[in-house]
Amino acid sequence: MMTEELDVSGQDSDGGSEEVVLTPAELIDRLEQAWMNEKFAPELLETKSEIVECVIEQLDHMEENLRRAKKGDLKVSIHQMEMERIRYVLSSYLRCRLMKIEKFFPHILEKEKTRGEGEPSSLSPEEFAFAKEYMTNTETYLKNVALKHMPPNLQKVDLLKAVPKPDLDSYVFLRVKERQENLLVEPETDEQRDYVIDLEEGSQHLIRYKTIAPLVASGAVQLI
Amino acid sequence: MSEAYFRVESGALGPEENFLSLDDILMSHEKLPVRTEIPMPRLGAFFLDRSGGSETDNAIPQGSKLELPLWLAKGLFDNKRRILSVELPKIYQEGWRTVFSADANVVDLHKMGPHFYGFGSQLLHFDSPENADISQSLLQTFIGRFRRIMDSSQNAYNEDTSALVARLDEMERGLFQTGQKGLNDFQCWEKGQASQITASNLVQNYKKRKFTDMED
Repeated sequence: MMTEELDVSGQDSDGGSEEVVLTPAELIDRLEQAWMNEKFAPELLETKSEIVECVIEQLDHMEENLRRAKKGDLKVSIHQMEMERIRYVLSSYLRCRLMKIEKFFPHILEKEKTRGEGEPSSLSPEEFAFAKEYMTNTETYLKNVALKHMPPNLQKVDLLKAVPKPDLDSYVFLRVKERQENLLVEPETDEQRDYVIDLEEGSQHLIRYKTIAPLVASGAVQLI
Repeated sequence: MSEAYFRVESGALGPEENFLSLDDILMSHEKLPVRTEIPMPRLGAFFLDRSGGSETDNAIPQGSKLELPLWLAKGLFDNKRRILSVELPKIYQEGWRTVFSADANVVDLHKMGPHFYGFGSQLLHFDSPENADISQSLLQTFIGRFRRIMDSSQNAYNEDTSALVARLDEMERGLFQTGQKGLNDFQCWEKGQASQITASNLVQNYKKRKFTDMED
């Protein structure tokens, strides 16, 4: 609907190093996938700032076009509704990420510090600034409210140990998009041993997040 | 996710309690019967009926029975058992375990120590020979009671639930509240109230405070 009615350019290029050309429909699809993955994953996933930027660009285009096109109220209001829905998905995605940053901030910052050169970051530059500020604020607050009144040898709190880590053992539902073979599953109880499974395309499973974390990052499975 | 404030949840059911969780702090305050393996000098002042008297420097003699909170017992417990040896409270022992396996639904877990599951899970740190049985019993008790909690939390809308939660321990009450919240949110959405903007629960009290300030 977006490409025919509103004369929006049907191509959108990725801002990153690869020249991936997506139609708006595919872009929204990617946004929804990233949104669902982020909602159901127990830890903060890779940042998808290219998708976010492209979606914001698209929304601006659509708004431009809506302002110009005055004919027929019905089309305008339907497109406006679509824009509202996309805006909601985008802000829900960003809110979910912010919630996870606030929840796990020492571990995320530690991971960012020890990240290798080629590995993708889980924080966009703005999110990184937010996380650092949040950490400083929390430390200052704890110091001023409690720690500076304690005896001198107890005035430190190790936030890495105090703040709980994301629980990678929690179970998630997933749908398989690309067939996987020979996935090693670790035992849950001491009596079981490691076993190997294959994932068929289109099948749905309930499995521990830790086992399939790399598959979520590569896009081979979709969390539902 | 539309909450303004996310509390640190209890980690008691996992490998270790969460340092910043208020629920865990309350849970680990419950007492545990222990026996001392070595004499403890100068602690007799706290436990007057156990101390050896002022001539032995107010020490607690070896082998005396005390009740210590869980956090203290965990801190003093050592694998080589030099300082303390821990006895299991009655409800985690054989007798009560058979009661739970008979019918878990009728037991009043709130009376049994309001943190039955959390405390029981942390007890496993003390390397008792009955650990496997305790963990099985905790799991089976929960499985037996869960169905009723889920049913009652999803179907009690706008009514007094005190009779339903009276026999639940703290963790189960948390589950019940989550279920109720889900139910209330859904009903709210059905009535169309979900898009109404309401004051955040963090700032709802501010207006009241300013009012009294003006009166003074």
